[in-house]
Amino acid sequence: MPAVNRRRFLTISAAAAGAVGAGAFAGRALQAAPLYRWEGIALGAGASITLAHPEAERIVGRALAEIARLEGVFSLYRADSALTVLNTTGGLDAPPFELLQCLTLCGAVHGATQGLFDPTVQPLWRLYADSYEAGSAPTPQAVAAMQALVGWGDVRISAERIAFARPGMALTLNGVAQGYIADRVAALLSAEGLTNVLVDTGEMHALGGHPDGNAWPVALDVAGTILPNAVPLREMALASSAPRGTTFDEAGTQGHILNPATGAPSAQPWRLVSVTAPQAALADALSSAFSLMSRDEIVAALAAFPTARLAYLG
Amino acid sequence: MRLVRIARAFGFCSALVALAALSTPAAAQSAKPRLPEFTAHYPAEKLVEGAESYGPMRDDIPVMPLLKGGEIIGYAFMNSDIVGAIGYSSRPIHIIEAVSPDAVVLGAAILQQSEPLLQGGSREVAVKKLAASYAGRDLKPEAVTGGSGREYPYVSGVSVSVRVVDDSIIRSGLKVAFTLGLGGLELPNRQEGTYPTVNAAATAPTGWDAMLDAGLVKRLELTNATVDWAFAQPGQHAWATRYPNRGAPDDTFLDLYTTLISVPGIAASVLRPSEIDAMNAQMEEGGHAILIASSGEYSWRGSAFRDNGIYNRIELVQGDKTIKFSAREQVALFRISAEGAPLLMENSILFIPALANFDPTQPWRLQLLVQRNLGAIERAYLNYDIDFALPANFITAPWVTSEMLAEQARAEERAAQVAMRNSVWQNNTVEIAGLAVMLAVLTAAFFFQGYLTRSARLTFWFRIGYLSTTLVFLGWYANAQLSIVNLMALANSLRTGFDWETFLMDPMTFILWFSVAAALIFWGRGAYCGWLCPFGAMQELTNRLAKLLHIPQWTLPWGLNERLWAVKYIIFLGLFGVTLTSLDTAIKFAEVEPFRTAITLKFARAWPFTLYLSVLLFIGLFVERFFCRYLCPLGAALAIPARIRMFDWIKRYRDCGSPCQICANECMVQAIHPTGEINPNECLSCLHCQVQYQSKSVCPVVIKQVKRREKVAHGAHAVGAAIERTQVANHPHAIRVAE
Repeated sequence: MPAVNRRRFLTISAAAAGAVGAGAFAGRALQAAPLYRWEGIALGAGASITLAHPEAERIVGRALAEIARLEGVFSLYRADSALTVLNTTGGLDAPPFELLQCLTLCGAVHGATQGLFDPTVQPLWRLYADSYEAGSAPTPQAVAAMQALVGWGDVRISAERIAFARPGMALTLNGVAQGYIADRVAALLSAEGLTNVLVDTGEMHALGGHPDGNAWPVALDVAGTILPNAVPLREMALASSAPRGTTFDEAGTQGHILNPATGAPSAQPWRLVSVTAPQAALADALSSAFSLMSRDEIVAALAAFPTARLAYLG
Repeated sequence: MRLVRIARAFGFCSALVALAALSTPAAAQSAKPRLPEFTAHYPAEKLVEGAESYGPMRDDIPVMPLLKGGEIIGYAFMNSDIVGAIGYSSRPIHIIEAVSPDAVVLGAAILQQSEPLLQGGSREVAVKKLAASYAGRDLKPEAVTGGSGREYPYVSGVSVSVRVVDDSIIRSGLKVAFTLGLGGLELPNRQEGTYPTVNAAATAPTGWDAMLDAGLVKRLELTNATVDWAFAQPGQHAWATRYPNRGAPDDTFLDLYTTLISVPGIAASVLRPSEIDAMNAQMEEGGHAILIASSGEYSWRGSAFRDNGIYNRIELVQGDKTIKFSAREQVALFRISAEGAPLLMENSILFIPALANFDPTQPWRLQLLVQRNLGAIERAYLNYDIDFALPANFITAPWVTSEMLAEQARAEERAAQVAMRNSVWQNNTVEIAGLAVMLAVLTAAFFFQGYLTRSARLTFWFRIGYLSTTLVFLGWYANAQLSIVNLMALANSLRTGFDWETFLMDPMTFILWFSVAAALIFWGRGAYCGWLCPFGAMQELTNRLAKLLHIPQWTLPWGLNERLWAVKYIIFLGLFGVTLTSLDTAIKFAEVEPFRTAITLKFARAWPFTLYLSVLLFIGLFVERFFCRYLCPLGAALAIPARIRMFDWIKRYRDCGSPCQICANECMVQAIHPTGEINPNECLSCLHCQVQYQSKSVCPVVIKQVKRREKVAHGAHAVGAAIERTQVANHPHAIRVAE
């Protein structure tokens, strides 16, 4: 279903000091190191990593391995991922820690958004994707049937086993995993001693600021209109959702973010919702949830997350 | 199609070997690549639908890109250029194969093979179909096991050929994928250069603090307050703060230490010698071990391991691998005895299996899951990392030359073949056990033939039973029919480079040939021809039925019989001569043996073959064992060395043949000369003459002796004793005593 696949890019830029001519802000070792650029495939899309570091190649290798490992946990497109196993068999023994952590976060956002953020909408999402793929909207009966399979409370989570209480249930972590992966890659690069890094897996996690001393200048794309330097990012993560950026139908009316309460795509008018938070995973989950909420509801929900801010809504 | 599962235990160790083998480019194959020659006659479009042409062959590995509209849609190669693909015939099975850029097999076709059992017939079709069926097979999952440890397809009767087809398609595909980096598979750097390994000679400083300072032991220290703080962070479970840790904020929640304890220098500083021995005893070849030791309120072991045997609060991450630890295999330590170590309560040495491909010289991290129960069901989780990297002085990087790598590659290729062979033996345990029992029974029968042949009835039924087993079990079930083709393959391999592995690939044939060799020394050709040859058994059993139906038997005049014997030697020498020029042609001529039609293919063949077989069996109804006596080239080959046997087990009286001809007349294969001696080249050791030898009703010598003894002893003496003495006195080796 190419129509509903989000286009994702992984970009990691760090200390490209020489290129910008701001060597004064980079360490001595970084100054000496040539710019290393890797281009390839990660997270199912074209990706690039730019590093100026004497051991850039080794560090990039570690980052890619970590991404591959996390895809093995979260990917809905890999038949051997932990999430796919859970969805197809209805249970998963000794789940990866990352999955537990992500689900804990999902639970928190679920609670704070009156259940609007719900990873168990996957069967419903599947129905919409398959129906529009076949050329028509799903019937109300089919929507109702799939809605019956949605229910966060019916996911049993423990360190021994994650399981669904009812057959047919399934999870999607597409609203949080990209952010989570950005956080993990940032943590890995931070442990390697890198200071000024922007990890972009579709969601962003900034370590420090731009090597020129300013914050990372992040542009926003509001339905095709580029707002340059809309969010200056320093030691902070940013996630955005464009509810109508990707749609089920050709006409572009059926957005890809589904409301578990109505079983329908978001009724809110937002073209872009951007959230900053210390963790990209949290920002990612919140931006997904806010796509389904009014401004007042968003403000109310943000009270539960004092470190998160609404960076753009419109 | 039946599937044969490889024993897990075996698949495990072979996988390691095979994985290592994968990492070697085709350097081991020194012969000139035959890819250009084969592609010249096999259009790209036939190999992969839509392909238009082959591109130029690469320099590093004999692979040609498959082109479509100027774009590369895959890579074509010959399996035999890349890996060993020697089949049953001792010649390669040449298969052209194509793999996509995503490491999926696009097509495979057998282009040339000399497999004796695959010359025409339904099996050849089945195996060709099998090769084609690999199209669509994703090689990436195979890379995990290195192309072994999977289920083998099964085509009745040609297991060796099928295994070679399967093994070489997968392994050559993997090698190509690894070398070209297809589907994300990457070849470890195998050029001349330095390869980091653990420096076993490096020593660690003594004392716990010194180890910590040197980064040889890593610590994670959590107080109640730090954990409470982490549970209060946004994104945590909403109830997490309702259940704070008990105890004072500064009390230790967890004080955890970890190290790579399988490094000898570290073990020597941390463990006592007895603990090192216990660790080494449990650590598998190529495996590693870490130590986790802790104190505090929180248990890294948890309790769930009692149910599933896995510690689910810790995991090790290296690169893209996550490794969980088994609670069943560990060495628990009561305390850490290193000098200056704190009092630690939960201490275990945990093992990393070799299969995990852990690299001790690369950094890794231990992930710890902290779990907080929130009421009865709800739980919140935290994840802590402890990074570990072996210090530089614990790593050596010796220079590895290309010769060392080439030698290693050869060793790995050999190991892969041994692995394949072992799996074959394990898959055939029923057949092997059955054959072993049959051989033991036959050996016992021969050794104690004197007892067996006292009863004509017992001998008769024993033989019928044995021959039936040979035909049904050895022949039709296990397809263990020796053939002159085996000898031709042997001769060919002696000429082109003998290799045990090829012969070990077929356990039944191997064991049978070994037994035949032993039997030739002891008894001559009879043990095989007379008892173990399924086609021989078929002829004899059908002839028995004919006799039962009173079909008249034709005894050939002695002179004709003797002259016809020579025919089989002529056939044998002719085949041998053809083998020297072309094995393929010789294999075609070897169809003079009807074995394949009768035994392996069970009559399911084209009509000329079945007609030939029927004619032979028909003649066999009137002339017992007609084929064995006059035509069988294998029989001829076994008859030639028959005179080297060390013992004369078939007993004769001096009087045999002059004038008594009872045995000679009754010998089913007319192997007894009119002069009384048995021709060892022809004798099938059926033991019939041995029954006669002690028959009180048939053998004139015995009858005479018994009567004489009866007279002398007035019937008081045991008849058996008389016979015994007679036998001794009459034995050709015995000193003649004047009567």
